[in-house]
Amino acid sequence: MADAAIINPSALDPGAIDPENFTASLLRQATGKGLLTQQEAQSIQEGLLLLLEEQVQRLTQGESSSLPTQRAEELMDGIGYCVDFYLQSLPTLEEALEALQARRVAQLYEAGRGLLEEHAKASEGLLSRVRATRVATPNLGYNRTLDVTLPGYLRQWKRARYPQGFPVLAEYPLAGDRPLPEGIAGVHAYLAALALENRFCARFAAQVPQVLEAFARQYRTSPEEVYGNLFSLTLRSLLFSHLAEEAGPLPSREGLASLELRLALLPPGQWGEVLGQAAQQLLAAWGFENPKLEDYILAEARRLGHGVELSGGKLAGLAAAAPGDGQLIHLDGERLDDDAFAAVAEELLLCDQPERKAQIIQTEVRSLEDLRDLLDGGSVFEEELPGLFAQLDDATCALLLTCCPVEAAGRQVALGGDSDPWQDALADYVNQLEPQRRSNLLGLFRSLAV
Amino acid sequence: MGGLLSLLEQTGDLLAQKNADAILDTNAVTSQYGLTLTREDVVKLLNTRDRALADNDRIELGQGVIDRIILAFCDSPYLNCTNYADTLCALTELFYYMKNDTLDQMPDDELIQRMKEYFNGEDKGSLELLAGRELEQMARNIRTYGTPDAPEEPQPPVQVDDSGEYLIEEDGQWRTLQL
Repeated sequence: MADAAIINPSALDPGAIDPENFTASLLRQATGKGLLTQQEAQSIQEGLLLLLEEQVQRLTQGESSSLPTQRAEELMDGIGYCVDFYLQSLPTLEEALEALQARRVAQLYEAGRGLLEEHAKASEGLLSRVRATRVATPNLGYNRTLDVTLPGYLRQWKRARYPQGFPVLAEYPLAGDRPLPEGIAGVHAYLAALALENRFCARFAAQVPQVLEAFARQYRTSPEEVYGNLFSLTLRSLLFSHLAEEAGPLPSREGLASLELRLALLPPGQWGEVLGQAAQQLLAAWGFENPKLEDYILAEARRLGHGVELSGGKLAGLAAAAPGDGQLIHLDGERLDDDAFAAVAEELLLCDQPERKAQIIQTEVRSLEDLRDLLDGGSVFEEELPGLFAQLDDATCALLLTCCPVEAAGRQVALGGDSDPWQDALADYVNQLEPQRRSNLLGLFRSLAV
Repeated sequence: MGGLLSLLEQTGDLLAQKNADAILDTNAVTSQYGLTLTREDVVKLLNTRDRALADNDRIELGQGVIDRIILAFCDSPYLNCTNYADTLCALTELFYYMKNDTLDQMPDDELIQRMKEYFNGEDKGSLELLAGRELEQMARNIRTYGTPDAPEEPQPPVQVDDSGEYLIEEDGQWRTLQL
């Protein structure tokens, strides 16, 4: 596409306009390119000065001709916020410049103020709707945003004598953590998005708590403390579950593992497509009949596809699995940090039942290295080891065998001389298994050891 | 957003001319007291004002207060043609300093009036006393009590001496009996 600025050097360059200082940068650029005469520029500046003077007069009730510079800057920021908002609502820079030239600054200010007031009114209605359709969740960020933060912004807007811009910050992130406009327009955008998300979550009201629990486990926190978007977490769980051809709201661990393997067979560029198609299929089945919501869902599916590409097809950080009987330990699974490892080790030491120890390991430990370190560290006593190994699945036992100095693994396991007590106990455990099961386990060990 | 305020610096020259004319116009009144300002005096006054505003981190819109200070002080017995311009400069500096020190709680006219009363009264034309004593106390009162004058101290109760058994004290509101 041809660059208009190159073809017509005096045309305004959108790239040179600072969106944070729209009017000021438009004036500077227009003056520099000769699109605005000095007289016109001066007239606009006088209009701004007059507006500021009027506001100062009203603020001081005509009793003071001067005020602290900071206060004047705040007032001028407010004037700029309204004028900028109106000018940015016009389709092109040229029309914005035309408005500056043709209309008084006070008129532009009032027009901007009017637009902002419309956003404020719409936000009030949306806030009522969002609170009426709120997701029943213990999540603190979500509830605080609806009960404190958003109403606070609207109260602040009503109380302010003159409109001001402000950053819209909330404890609860929207899907995609999208950037919001400043001020009341940002509050409106936030509420509009949240209304769509609430609508989606209402459809899956029974599933959202399960999803939140699963991700809380994943993030090693509580559902109250999870910092995440309920809509996004639920949607991705449903998408992964659908792709894994499973019926529940959450995919199983095996389903996720198999999905990872299938994705690994595709070129990375197709992962997003796969997710997009899955989203389309689900949308057809769900039948929301709400184009805005459907677009919102598809946009989130695209973002998820991009996330899968960035993670190299690994779903560990993106998905949470349904709680199962136990989880597989991964060769390159997520390592515990020092504090978490110490907490798990202590918990194992204090626990006196092998079944409970196995449950702790299955819940908290994801990587082979961590499991090995726990066993090396003596968190499980020697007499408890056989009971523990009996609770673990064969795949985990086979993985543990790869950490042992195995000299022979034909029909029986034989270890080399320099073995630890837990390794001896593991070899003894494997050797006393019934022959078929032992053979399967050793076969798995041999394939891993290659 | 600060970009718009910086644009307004370009309108300074126009405002300065208007202010200079307004100040020179006061000569019509002050000349009857033998006090007049030359154009150089006006430039010096405006420069003092600009410096005082910058030093006190303030901004002034519109006409300003110099002409009001002039019209308030021109009949002071402590001003003469020798010290007139310099005293006005000092009063201008003091005015903007006091606007901050009184937390913008005093209207311009009231502050100018107080400055005049103290200057012509207790301070007998001394700018040092005006700045260091009366105005400082006034600012302290505003910061402490919210008013330029400290509240009156309550009067001790009046003892009523009678030959009875009780000592009676009365103030305007209560009668206290002491055994």
